[in-house]
Amino acid sequence: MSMIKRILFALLMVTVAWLHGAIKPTYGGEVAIRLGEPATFAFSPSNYSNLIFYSLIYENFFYLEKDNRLQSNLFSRYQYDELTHNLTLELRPNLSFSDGSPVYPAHVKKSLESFISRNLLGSRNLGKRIRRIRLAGNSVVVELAYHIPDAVFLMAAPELILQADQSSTFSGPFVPVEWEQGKHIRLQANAYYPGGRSYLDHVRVVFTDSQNPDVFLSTPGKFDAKRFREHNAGIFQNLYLSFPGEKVGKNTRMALYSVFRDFFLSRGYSELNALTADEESPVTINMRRLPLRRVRSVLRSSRIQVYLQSSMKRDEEALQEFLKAKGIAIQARFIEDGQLRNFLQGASVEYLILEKVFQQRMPLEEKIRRVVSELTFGRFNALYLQLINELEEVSRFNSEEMLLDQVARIVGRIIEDGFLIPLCQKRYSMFVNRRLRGFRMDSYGRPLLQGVYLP
Amino acid sequence: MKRRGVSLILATMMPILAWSQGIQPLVNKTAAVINEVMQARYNPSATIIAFENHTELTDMAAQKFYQLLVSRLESTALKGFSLMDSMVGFNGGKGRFHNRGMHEAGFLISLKMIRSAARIGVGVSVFSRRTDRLVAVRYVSEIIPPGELRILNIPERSFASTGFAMVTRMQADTDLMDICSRAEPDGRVRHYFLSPEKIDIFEWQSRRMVRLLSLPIDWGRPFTPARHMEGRILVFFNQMGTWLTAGANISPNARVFLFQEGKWGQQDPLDFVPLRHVMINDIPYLAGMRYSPGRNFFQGGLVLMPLDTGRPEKNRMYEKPLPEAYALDFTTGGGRLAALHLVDRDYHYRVYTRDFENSTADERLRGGSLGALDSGWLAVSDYSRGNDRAFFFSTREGGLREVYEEEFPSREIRFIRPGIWDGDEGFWICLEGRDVAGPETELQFWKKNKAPENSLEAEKNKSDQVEDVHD
Repeated sequence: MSMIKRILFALLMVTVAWLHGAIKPTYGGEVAIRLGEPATFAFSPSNYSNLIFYSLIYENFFYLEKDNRLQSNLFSRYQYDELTHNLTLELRPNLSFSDGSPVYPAHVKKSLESFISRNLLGSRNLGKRIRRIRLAGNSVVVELAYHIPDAVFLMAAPELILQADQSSTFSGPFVPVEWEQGKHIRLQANAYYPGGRSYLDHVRVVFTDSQNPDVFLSTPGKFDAKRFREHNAGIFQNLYLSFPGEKVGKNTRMALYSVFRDFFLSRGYSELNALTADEESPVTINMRRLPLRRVRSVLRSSRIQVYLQSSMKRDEEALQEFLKAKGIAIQARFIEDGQLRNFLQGASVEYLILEKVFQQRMPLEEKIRRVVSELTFGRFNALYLQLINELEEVSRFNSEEMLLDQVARIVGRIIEDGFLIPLCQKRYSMFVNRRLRGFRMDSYGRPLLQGVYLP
Repeated sequence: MKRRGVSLILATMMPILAWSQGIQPLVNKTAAVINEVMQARYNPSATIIAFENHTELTDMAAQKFYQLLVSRLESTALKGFSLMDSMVGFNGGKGRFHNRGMHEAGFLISLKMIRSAARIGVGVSVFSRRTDRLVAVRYVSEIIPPGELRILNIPERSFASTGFAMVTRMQADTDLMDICSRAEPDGRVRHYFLSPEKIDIFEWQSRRMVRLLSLPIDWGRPFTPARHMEGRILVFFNQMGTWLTAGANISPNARVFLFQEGKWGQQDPLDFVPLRHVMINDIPYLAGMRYSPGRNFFQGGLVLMPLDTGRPEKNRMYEKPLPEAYALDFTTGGGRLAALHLVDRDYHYRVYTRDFENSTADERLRGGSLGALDSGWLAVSDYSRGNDRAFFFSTREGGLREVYEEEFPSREIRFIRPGIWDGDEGFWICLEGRDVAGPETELQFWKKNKAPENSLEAEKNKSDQVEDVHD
């Protein structure tokens, strides 16, 4: 059979298989998704993995569709009054939380207040524009400080979720029913989910690859295309070399930079020469790399202990082999993410490798703010605070030029201080088992498992 | 020159050769064999009680052979010979027959089609019921040309003029869940449309649907939102007045309204979805099922609630076991329950007798929705996605014989419901998906044509009958 005939035959079979699917989606079954283990069921979206997890058990106020339309399962109507600058959100009747208790407008108000009190760019952006939130019958009225016709779009943030009074009550498509620490969390379909009961009966959130997940993040092109469909998650992980201590010589910095960049490039990472992503940064950070002989010479005399976040532990063995092969004596130690800050306060840490995960859609100013406020540790000072505040001010003017100018100032300051050097970057794709039907991701790269069904 | 001559002769003879081969000569030979066996008998009566097909002919083609044979036997019958046609259906290579014929006819005939080299043969066995012995075993065969085999195996689509035809179509709300058409006691036909938030009552007046009333529905709690909202509406009359019930997969409680003294009054809700008002042992019942909350199928058993006092008797309600079902409908005869048709969760069509015990799953027939008419018609949607079809079956005599099918390219059937239009019974078919420039959700009414000119007229009127259901 010629190649063309084979292709035509395969196409015909695919068409036949598609045409002969069931007419109604089938309810039932379980899928497994690989995520990082959350610390608690209480909403605390510290990273992308958590954001996915909480999207399974908490419902967002609004979803931003690809065609820039807003969609909501909670509100039957939203209306902006140009005269009063009031945004009215009308709650759908008869909605319930996962335990069957009613959703009242007061829950919406409380959730909105909780969101605007968070230290997030989206929260601050919305919070600054709100004068008052009040209840009116089955509606919540958001009184805005001035005329903002598209204010409702500020409510499409993934961190704005509906919360119940009880911490064990949820609003999302699934409800946790079992948590085996370090292994998995089992979720069950929420019969009262405002978006309509999910097709799947259960979702298993697994924390290791050994449990054959159906949905997981990995390096683009890494997995068998026959079994898995690859989606652009818009997720990238940045690695930074940080020097929290103050007495680090320039040669040592360059030597460590050269060693670790070489190592991570050999592990499939790509180069990173900016604080966030090369393509969106106005300033490129160029660090000189030393030849191996010079690196050995610089690092020979000192006993160097480099601390890495535990999320990089899977590279531990490869790192030891790499250092041994290069003849470099560096001791690598791994710290749990949750203990990082405490550890830095109690121990003398000179060399640190940190990771930060970003989503493409996150605004540049938010990424810069997170890098500066979360990775500078003891080096964060009044100057940085001023720079960050100025960045927020600038972001209000909606001027790309002013924004990039401010970003350049911050990056310039960090280069000057020399305590944080971007190392490498890795982009992630979402791999989805082809047995899953109806899979969709939202604009924040979150998989919407409520629409997934099994044939 | 000689070769040319032979070719010319063969070319001239081909139609004659073709005529002497094929299904018709096989039918003639089989009929001749049966007539020969009956010839020496006095006023013989016979019925075919078994028919099996072990050839590459499809069920439909085998059924055509059977029909041609019966027709041939009737037209060439010997004096006094009577043949009873007892077939009720044919599928999976086997025919299904009424038992009645077996008890009444003097001779029982068994037919078996087999493939023998290039020929198709028919084995005929004749059994005398009176003498209780086999009286004849014959075998006839014929070559069926490949072209004719292909034609025979083409699915039967009947003739459009005698089959079902669409007589009207209209745009519907995207969340339309069900429709019920009823001839009111005053003779006017009203159409009840069920949406998640309301019931609209329409009447066809002056070539447009006029909304008479809109009844809002508050489902209350517990409320289980569904990705695919499904519901059923039922209208029936009794000594109390006109009852209107509406149930959906978003609430375990069906809403009940009673029309008395010129207005609709809300009654106590029911914990099941009423589907049909039926008579069982001369007692009126409300028959229904329960939706799986938030999901697209019925679960639990068939609920039967007596209505003999005029009101739903909740304390005397009982259930009959039934499998989980995507679609369900009833046929009645004079108001009495005759059969229950359902599509189970494996998409197989099943039919239950009035005692709810005998279930026949038709492995060949798979679909998503169905509707049944008391006048002996069943419509089933296809087991497909994206390009749907509707199959219309005759259920007279308790069988299932396909009469007509219609394709709906790039559309899917959401539901099929029995209805009334222009004084005739037929099916409402609700379609999803856009048809060229048509609406996203469309409601079509299909009915059995009475005469060819009706369908031509209907075809002609199709385009100018497209109306919005809103007034």
